[in-house]
Amino acid sequence: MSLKINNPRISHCADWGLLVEFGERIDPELNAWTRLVADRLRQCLTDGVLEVVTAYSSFLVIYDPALLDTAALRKTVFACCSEKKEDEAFQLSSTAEIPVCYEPQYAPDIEDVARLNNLTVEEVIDIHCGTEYLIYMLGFAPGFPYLGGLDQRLHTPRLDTPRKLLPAGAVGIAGSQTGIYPLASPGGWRIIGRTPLQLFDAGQNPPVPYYAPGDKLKFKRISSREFQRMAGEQSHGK
Amino acid sequence: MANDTFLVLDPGAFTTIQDLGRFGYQTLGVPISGAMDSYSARAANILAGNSPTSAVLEMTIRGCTLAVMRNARVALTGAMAEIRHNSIQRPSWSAFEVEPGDLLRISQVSLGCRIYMAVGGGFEVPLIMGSRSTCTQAALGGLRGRALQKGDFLPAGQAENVPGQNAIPGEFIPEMGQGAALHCVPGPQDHMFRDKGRDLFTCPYTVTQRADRRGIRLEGPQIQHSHQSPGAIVSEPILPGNIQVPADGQPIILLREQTAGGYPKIATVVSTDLSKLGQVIPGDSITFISVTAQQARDMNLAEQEKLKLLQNSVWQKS
Repeated sequence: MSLKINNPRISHCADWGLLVEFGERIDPELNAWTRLVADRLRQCLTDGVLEVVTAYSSFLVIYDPALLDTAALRKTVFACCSEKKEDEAFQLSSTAEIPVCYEPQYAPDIEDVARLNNLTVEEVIDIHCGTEYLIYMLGFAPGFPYLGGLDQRLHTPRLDTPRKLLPAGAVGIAGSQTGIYPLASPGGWRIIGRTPLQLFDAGQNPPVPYYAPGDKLKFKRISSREFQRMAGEQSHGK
Repeated sequence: MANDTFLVLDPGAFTTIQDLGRFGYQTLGVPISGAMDSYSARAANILAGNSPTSAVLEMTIRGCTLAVMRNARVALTGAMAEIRHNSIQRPSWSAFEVEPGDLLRISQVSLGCRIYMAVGGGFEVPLIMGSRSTCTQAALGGLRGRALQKGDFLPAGQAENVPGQNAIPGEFIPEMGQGAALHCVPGPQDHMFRDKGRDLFTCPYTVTQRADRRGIRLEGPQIQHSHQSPGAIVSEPILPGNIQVPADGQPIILLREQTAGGYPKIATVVSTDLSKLGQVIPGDSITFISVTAQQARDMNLAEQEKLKLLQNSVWQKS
């Protein structure tokens, strides 16, 4: 790992949280290191830890103070940071391929995204599908991926007025970010396509079946016929 | 179904099934959820003879009306409201037995915000990712992932334990309707504020209309970020009780339906004071009291001890 990683900053969140911060940057290696240390910690913790939650460059340990002493927890965190094995973090990641239909009925804003960036709609699709994105973290809503790597040519401001309801599977762009809404929700992103996959399914374990933080994500263009077929298969599979 | 215990005649304003929360899935974006006033939820379960993790009803602002279908023991705690059991008026923070054909009518709250109702054996909805709590934004948990509706049937489990007492001793009943004084531990980003965030502790703040299970926006004197502070941070995990301060200087206390946030957190409310936040309504006054992490831990242990005492006193046979 080429990255210089300092010791983390560890702070109390009241009586039941310990926040471990490795830096204030969005950086693939820092993110991989954060997830690696969190994984090591999950493996060596037992009673009293409710969960370890990761984000871009920090993780939060939620614990029961009656069962766990924070001095010991800090020591364990530092121990998990001490050995810097080279590849451990990267070995686990896989690439999720998410089929997206970019046809107009699923892509109300794709023409605006093209026009605002002096591109054709075809170019927008090619660029969007031609990139491999890193899933830094999931959050905001169940299964919502924070993706890194959107091509600068597609950076587009949010809508002035957010839509009241976006359908589940909507794929959008907001500023320098691209992402997918796994569940129907309001949102101000410019919508350029939709996936037929049900990306969050509370009945499955894990409930986000296609990807996890640290995975890569690629969008694959499909036709509206394929969209219909896949959407049908998803609902029949229940 | 055989274990249907109540029929919902009127669901109230916003009634959901909650337990102590869903842990272990926030990395996938699934929030903790769970009872907003966990002290009241625990007390209701103690009165009903249940384990602390049993699922209860959380009614917001206006209670529900239920037709009873099976014999059961019910317990009500939390906000003050009028509880009518057929023609009998029942006190809040008490338990009683109901029979098929009975009617339970719970009014608008008169003090506080959320009423809790437990039933002997607990509300029996499927465990989703280890919890029965409802997360309405993701439509998961509870009763089909949503708030109760008219015509819903509410199943209950088998009661295993009948407590000896039907009332909670007065010293275990929290005060309601006074606003809230919240103990909090500075940080994790108090260094991003002027004077290490002392502004927060100098004046009372008011609960705005934007208050729900996600968080509570407050209004009051503007909190100054320090000059070097960027005013936003790279998104981090959220713990219920984290107090975020966006650029406008008005604090937001994050609660149980949010997993990540991108504003600096000036302080974090002690877990045992989160229950108070489950009972505030718009217009209520909030003051903040700074404590150390060690004091926060002591408060937590003291509450666990208090709940043990409460259980012993309610469960003892007289």
